[in-house]
Amino acid sequence: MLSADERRAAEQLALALDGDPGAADEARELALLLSGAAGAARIDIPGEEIERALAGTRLRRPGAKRTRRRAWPLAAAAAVAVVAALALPLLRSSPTVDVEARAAGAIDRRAVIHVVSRITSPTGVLPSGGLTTWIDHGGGRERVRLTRTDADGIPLVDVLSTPGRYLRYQVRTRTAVTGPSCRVVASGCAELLDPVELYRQALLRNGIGNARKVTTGDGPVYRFSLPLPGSAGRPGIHQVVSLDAESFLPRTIEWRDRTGTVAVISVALVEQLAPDALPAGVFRLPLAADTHVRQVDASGAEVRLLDHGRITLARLRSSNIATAWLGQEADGWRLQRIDVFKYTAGIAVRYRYGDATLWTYDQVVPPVLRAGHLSPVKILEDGPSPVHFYQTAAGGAVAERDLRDVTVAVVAPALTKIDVLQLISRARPL
Amino acid sequence: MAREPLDEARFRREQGDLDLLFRAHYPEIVRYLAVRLGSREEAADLACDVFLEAVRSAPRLRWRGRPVLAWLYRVAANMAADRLRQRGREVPVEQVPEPAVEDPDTLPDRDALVRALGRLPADQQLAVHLRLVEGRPFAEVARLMGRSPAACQMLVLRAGRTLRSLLETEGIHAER
Repeated sequence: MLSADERRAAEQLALALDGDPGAADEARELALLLSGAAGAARIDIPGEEIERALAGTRLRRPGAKRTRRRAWPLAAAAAVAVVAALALPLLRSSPTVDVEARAAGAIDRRAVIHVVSRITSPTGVLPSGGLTTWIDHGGGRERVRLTRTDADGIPLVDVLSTPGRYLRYQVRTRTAVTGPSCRVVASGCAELLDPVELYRQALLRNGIGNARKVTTGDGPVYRFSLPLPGSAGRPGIHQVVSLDAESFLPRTIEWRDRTGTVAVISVALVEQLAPDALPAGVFRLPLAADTHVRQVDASGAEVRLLDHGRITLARLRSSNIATAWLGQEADGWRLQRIDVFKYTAGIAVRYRYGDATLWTYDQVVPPVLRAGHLSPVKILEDGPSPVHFYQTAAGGAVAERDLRDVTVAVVAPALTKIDVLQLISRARPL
Repeated sequence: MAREPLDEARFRREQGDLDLLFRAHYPEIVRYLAVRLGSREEAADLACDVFLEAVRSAPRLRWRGRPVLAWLYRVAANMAADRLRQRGREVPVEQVPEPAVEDPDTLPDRDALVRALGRLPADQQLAVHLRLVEGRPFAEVARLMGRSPAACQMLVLRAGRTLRSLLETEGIHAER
């Protein structure tokens, strides 16, 4: 049973929410708080996102697949007819072994490969639009940066994958997911496989058995068919490659299944650069300041805090936690307390030194550092490893660097960059 | 009531035109789920599942004086509860308050407010969402929630008090 006072308080709050200045004090206070919280939750959903989501649900509606399949062979037949009309005279069979060798030699695995292509995929087997990929095989330590745009070139998704770290940023919604590998996101690893890279893998694995030289409206090409490496696509898809007869690089790659063409990749650029000739920032992914970043563990589950609490220096020393510190005193500030945070995917340690805080961590970046950590504003080559500078969401200056077993970060809102740099240079294993 | 035939006509229209239903209500379902789940991406994902459920079930709904949207919110709430149950009992990192006096980085911000909203009991949160996020009058909130306007006002009062105490734990105070 509600008391009369409670009822009155609820009515007063309703009045305050309607903007009545005569409402009771508590009601006005709560109205202010609730309005603030509601304002923060009132996120804008752009019209394009609604249409994209609607289109996505249409494809998933019962019966949608069957309808598309019926409709597709006609479109595919038309596309094939156009391609056949363009591919006018079939010249003659070419010496296949040469094409294979030249094609394999055209893409240098030791170089950083930059591919720009445009994808048309009415069936959605690949996302339609522009695709820009940078791939650095880096002697087994592969780095990939991939940007997908819509048909007008407006960025939709930006992905950066480096050893042990994966970041996927949705530009329009300003949301990002980060984790230890591409496996943390459904289809995350498949997304990283550029169609040109898939072509290269299939070429090296299968060779070319059936290349024909044909002349198209854009000049001569070698055309041949290769299987698509199974993990990347649906079973039964193969790729029909049109290879530029001079550069031996792909011009178009057409993915086909038994119903016809399911995607056409028009390759605008395949550029190969020495690692030291890369444009600055290629393997860095800047995030907008208000990006919401979700950190997940290796299984894809959101990283969660299992336990946290204060710990003594002696206990921390006797534990097997890899950490570092600045000593008993740093820049005149004494070490005040140490806290350990155990996450589902790793451990972080926080040291308080007056106005400065030192964080040390391995796999899990503490939430307060997360967004800035992913997009450093400055990188300074100093000492044993580079120091990355960035800011917390609250504006505090952060300097971060990797030590041998652990990453250390100094957060000090009141200090200058030089002071923070001096502090982090004192970080050493505990 | 005079509105009844109009409401029923809208119900029938939305029931029969799922694209119309989607365009009209997808944004508010995403906003609702984003707070419930604490993730904008996951909310967009689950909202699509809510509308797919509508594709399957809406044609079978009967007019009982409440709009299709009320049913959508119920499905969204159930799906969100399932998703939260799946996550288990671990506490998301973002939900663990740190002592504000000691940590200069936990300043009052949008995230703190949204996190606090997400920790409200489900019915209080829905009432706040409908009244304050979507800006509906209490009479409409009541129709969507299947309760009386007074009960909805009481839910919002409790939500306000819970929110105040949650934020005070984090050292964030409402201005008077």
